[in-house]
Amino acid sequence: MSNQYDQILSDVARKAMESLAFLIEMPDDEPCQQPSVSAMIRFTGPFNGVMFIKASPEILQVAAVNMLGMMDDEEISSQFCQDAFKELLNVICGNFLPEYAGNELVFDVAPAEMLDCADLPAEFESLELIANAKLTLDAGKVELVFFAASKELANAG
Amino acid sequence: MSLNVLVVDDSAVMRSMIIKTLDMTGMELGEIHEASDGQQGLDMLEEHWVDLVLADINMPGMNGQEMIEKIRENPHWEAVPIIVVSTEGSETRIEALRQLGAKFIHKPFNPSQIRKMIQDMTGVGYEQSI
Repeated sequence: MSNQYDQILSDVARKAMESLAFLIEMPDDEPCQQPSVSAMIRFTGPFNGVMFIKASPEILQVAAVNMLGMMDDEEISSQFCQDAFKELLNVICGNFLPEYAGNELVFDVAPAEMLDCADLPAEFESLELIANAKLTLDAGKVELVFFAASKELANAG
Repeated sequence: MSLNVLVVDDSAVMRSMIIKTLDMTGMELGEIHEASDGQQGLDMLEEHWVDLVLADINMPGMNGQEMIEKIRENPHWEAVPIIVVSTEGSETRIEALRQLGAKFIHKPFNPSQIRKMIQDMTGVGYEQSI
């Protein structure tokens, strides 16, 4: 069951990274910094959950430069870099959610937020791990994890 | 005719991307206004004449759907063309937006989608291709 969603999450993330930020997937052995910058996005609705992203630091700058169509040597604020990173997470979560939950249910997706540490907050231990994906892109590595409360519980409620 | 546009999205990067996309369409643009949530969007509409609204759905404070409902309740704005640019995947919510007269573009989008939809909704841009 989980493998199916792993593949879907990987496909959704690859498409979003490529079409929104022009970040292209590379062979897994490509040398790059390990993921250490992280953010999460929560959703509420028929059931609740969260998507978590961890990425190499270079990805934030390259994504922002590409999304804004800037030249490589132009100055860009860390605020814009974080905003681009959070928007990527928003697009990935928004596109994965209907793949998992179907396209009839209505969810409210909260604004993405940066996390101080690269580890998953403990509050999500009660949620079920649904999917995870790892991508090596031309600007670094990305890991995504999607947690949700049980759909069966939501249906019973 | 030049278009005065209001872009409502809580992401400054996404607002910049949408504005850049509008520039790339080659359409004649007038004033471009930005807002980061639904209430700010309504405030902008109070202050400026706007020919087209591009709005996200999931935003802090007043979300895009609430903002569109309020726009349609106001006789001054009820006919303003609205394009929702969002990751929204729920057909239920998308249909509710269509019922409010809004068109929908899914993120990630490409510039030609936005250009075509603006042309269809406003007629602006067709004269350049004739």
